[in-house]
Amino acid sequence: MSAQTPAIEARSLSRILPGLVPAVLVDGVDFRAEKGELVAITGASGSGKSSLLYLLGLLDEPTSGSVIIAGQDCAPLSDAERTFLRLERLGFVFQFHFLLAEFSVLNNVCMPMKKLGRLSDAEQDAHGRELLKELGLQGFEKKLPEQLSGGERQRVAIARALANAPGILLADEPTGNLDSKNSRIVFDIFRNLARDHGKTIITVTHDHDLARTCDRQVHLADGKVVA
Amino acid sequence: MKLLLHIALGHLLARKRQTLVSMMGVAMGVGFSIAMASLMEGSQRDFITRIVDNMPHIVIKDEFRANPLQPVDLLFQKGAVELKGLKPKDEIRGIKAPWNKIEALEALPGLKVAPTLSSQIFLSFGGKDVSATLLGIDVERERQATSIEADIVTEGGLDSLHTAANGLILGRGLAAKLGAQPNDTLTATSASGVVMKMKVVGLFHTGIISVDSSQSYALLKKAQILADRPNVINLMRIKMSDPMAAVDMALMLESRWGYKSESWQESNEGLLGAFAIRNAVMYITVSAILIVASFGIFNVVSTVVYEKTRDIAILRSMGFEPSDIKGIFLLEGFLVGLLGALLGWGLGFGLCQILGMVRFNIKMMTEVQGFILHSTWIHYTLSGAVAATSATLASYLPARKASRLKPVDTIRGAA
Repeated sequence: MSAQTPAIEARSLSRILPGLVPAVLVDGVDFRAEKGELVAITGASGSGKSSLLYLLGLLDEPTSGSVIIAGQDCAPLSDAERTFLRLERLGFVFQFHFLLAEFSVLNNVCMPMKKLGRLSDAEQDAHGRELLKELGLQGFEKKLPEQLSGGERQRVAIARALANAPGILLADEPTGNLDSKNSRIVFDIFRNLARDHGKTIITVTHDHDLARTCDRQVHLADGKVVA
Repeated sequence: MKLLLHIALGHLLARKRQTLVSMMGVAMGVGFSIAMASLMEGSQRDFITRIVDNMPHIVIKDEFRANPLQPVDLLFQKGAVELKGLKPKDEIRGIKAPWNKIEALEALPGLKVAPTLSSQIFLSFGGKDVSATLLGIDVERERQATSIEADIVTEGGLDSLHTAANGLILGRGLAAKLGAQPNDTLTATSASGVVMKMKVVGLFHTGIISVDSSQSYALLKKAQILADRPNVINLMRIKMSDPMAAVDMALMLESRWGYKSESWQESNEGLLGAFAIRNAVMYITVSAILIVASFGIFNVVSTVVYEKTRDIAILRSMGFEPSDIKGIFLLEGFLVGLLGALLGWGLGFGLCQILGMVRFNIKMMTEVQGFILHSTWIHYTLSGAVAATSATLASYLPARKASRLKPVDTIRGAA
């Protein structure tokens, strides 16, 4: 990837839900985020923030336009190739932690590594513990998600999103269910990941104070970038 | 696969009670199917063994399946011929040139022949008259071709027929009807009116009630004298080293000599057909049990899919493919089926042991002292395979539904 190549880019991206009255979720959005950049996507409810994030994360398919990740156009990729790209290069954090309730914290974190299968069991275990330690969750490895607080669960979800060392982290209102203290902790982690680890982080948020702490803000209204 | 198994086990272990109930459903199906199959096959094998061991594999009778063709029939084979007032020739009954035929049969490999004169007699003793079938036999050939000697419960075996002038071996049931004991002298009267004093020299017991209560044995010569049919043989009872080849051999013999040749399968056609119907009923019943158990599995896996919609979405967003998701839920069904089958094997084995200990004494067609069970690895493998397959199939629909879930819809719904 050359110095000018953005980590992720959207070109004329649109998503229209078909129906008697088609709903325009994202309308011709051009967007780019560089390596090591922390970008906040803001906007009112229904402005298309999350829809844009899902399109960038290859969870949804655009009606038109394309998503380019590290110079690779994802439009012609098959579903399996897009799935593998998600596994290898993208990490997701959602408003709800979505941890697997039956599995321990460490098992949850190791799940993407197990799926990718590049590390041995021992290496997965060590890497998982290291991630948890970095996020201040040392000693929580064997606990079940139900034994953690909301903030702790969200940090476990961040650790899981980072398990395969993706270059891009996509967060959909990650602080939506957290108090202000935990929200700050999460954003501190994001800043640290962007600044010190060169991760590209794109986060959707309603919280303008937190958005202001990001490198850049992209404001959406009616599915279009307005600022 | 290891990861999918890990997740599937996690889901099942999180719902221990539901999983256990589903497994028990499968286990009951498998266990009862093994016990039922063992019971059915045991009784069927026992009955067939008794028939095969105690009865001739082929009986050649001095009868014909169809009336002989008249010269006019032979002349106008395709003509519409009607004969009226036809008088059948009064032929002497019996197989013609029997000893030539016996010689020919004995030259065939694996065949033993017992020439017999079968006739109906009346036995009188102590004021009782009982109708019986008398089989006049050649002791040496009888010994080789039948297992009757093993069923003689008194001393001397078939050779005891030589110990008295007119020796008679009676079925134990027949002796009981007459109130006769060994060494008693009975009066035998044949249909032709010949009366002969005969001494009971032995008793036999085959376990087949109809045989034990009506059959008796004497030397062939004595039977011919009693029936007033010198040198006549009207039955040839054949024992084969391969009883299953009896049908083909009987067909061949009948086409060669014309005499009605009946295989043991033909003689017991109705019974063997009843066995087939009984087995079909059993397999339908057992399948129904397994289908009901499969609904339980369908229910469990469907519930898990419903409850785990968010997990499915996150797994998909993480990079799990639809086939992985389908695999997880199919594995859950398969695991319930497999573990249920293993439990069912234990249950089936236990049931067989318990049934094997039950004792009773019922006189039906054969004398039965308890359940006769015959378990084979086929019963275990078949029931286990059917259970695991039906459990996996039951989980297919929910698994397919899970694999088709769009993660973005779930995540949007949860937000």
